[in-house]
Amino acid sequence: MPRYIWLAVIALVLIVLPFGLKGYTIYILSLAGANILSAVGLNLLMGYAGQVSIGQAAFLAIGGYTSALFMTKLGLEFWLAFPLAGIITGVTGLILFIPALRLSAIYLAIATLGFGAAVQQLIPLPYWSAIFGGHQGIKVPRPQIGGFVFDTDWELYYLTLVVVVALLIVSWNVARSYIGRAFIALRDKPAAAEALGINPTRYKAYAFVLSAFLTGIAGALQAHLVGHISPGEFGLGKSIEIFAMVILGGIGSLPGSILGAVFLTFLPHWLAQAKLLYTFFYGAALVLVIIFMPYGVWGFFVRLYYRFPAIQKLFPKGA
Amino acid sequence: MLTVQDLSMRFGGLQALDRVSFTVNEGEIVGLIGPNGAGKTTVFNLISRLYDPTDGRISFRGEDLLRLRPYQIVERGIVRTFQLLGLFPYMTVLENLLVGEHRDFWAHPIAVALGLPRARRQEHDRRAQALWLLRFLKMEALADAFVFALPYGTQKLIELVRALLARPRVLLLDEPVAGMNAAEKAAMREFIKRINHDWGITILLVEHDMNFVMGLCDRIIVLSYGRVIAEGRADEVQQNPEVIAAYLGEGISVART
Repeated sequence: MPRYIWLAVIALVLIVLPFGLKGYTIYILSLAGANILSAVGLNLLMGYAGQVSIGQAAFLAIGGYTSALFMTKLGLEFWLAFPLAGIITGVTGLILFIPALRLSAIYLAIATLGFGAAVQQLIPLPYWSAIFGGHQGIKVPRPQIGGFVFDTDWELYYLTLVVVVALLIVSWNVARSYIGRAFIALRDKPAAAEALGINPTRYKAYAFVLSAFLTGIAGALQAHLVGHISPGEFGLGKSIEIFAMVILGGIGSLPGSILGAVFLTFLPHWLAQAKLLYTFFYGAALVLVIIFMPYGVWGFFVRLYYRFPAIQKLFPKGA
Repeated sequence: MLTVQDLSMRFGGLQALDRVSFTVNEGEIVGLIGPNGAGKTTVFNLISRLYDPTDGRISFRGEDLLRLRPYQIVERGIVRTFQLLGLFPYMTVLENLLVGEHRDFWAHPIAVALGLPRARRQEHDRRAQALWLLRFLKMEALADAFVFALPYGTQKLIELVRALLARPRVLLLDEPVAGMNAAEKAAMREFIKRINHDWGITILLVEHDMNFVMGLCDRIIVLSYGRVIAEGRADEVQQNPEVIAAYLGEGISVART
């Protein structure tokens, strides 16, 4: 029962949150929502299924361009283009799944790195600049459902909230199911997992498709929030940022990915005053977390929880 | 039921198995013994299809096992445990048992993702089944414990319970009592007898502990340097001069160990 109370409290906070905030902060909060989906997508792939990817930005790009172009070039409605962007990106996840069948951890990481670089290089080529807009990119229309256009920070925030919560529930359902257990089983003891009937090919495919789907939706969401999309946003730096969100939050923990994504989305804005020293503080913050919270921020909380009985009373188990 | 015929396995220059043949009949408890490096675990790894044999045949109930992939073996009713534990250390006991029931999960991934009632019901039913077995074995207190935190003997037992949830016809046990104390060994012996007698599960086991094997198995197969050197009841094998030589050198009785 206390679990539902806490969920209700969190839901209430998320709903009333924009009332006390400036428009710009609400906008950053929405971007954090998109990053949450990217981080959870990578965590399911890397933390659960043990498949390292540092090319996730490519999926963001595919999702973002797909949703934008389906609306502008094919004239599809937002409610159709947006989920299709996720589905199409999900299918492209199979491109990475094929090398994953043969390559182990570090080699797969290199392959995904190549995939990310390739996608970023392909988009601005002159052959299709009429469609993709070259290095300048293209304008992305505002989301519109029926006659309603989401064009204020508030409206976009609530749209993001609904999308992110819905997909977090989906991720949670998968992570807690036989599929999530199969991911972990194949990661930790592949021979034992197979001996119990887990088909490694099938479950690796699930992991890549789900991860790409979530990241594709995140890319589409981000594109619609920003109102513009260009290949420069999807470099190695972005892939590493998603990677860092997962590691910071705690690998293998979905709540951790949420914390990691929110933290790393806001950190640059908090540090904006530091100007030139910004990258220094950014790096220092990462190093400090890695040193003092080796299991990530969420792992740190979990350890505190078991260390101090007072916290256990406040948050009973299962909450 | 399970037939191994002229099975050979070569790793580079090492002939791990050399034309090994034996049969396991339905309802038997068969022990596979032999000195270190005799090829016992290799036999298990071949039956569970982790390796492809260099030569030979393995069939189960008339079906050629060599045509199957490792994950298909369990669907035929062959389930194994591992010498160095096949448990998933970062899962709870209950989660491990649920992986044991993997072949009974059929809900479509989309149904799972959307949390549809049939996916939830299936998860609920499988949990109930695993918990029922834990209660039956008076181990329900362990359900939410993380596996890595449990004593070794308990982990061995949990792995066996997990194998049972995969609905085996034949259970392959790789050193089920390694590292256990005498009391744990006795309990494990009774447990295996019960599985065999009450549940009708055929058992093929590899074990170093001679007393354990002699007191439990209907039939014993002795491997040495990749070849079968003897086969028969415990007393027959114990008297076999080749076995005595392989284990202890000439002139010492195995029965005394």
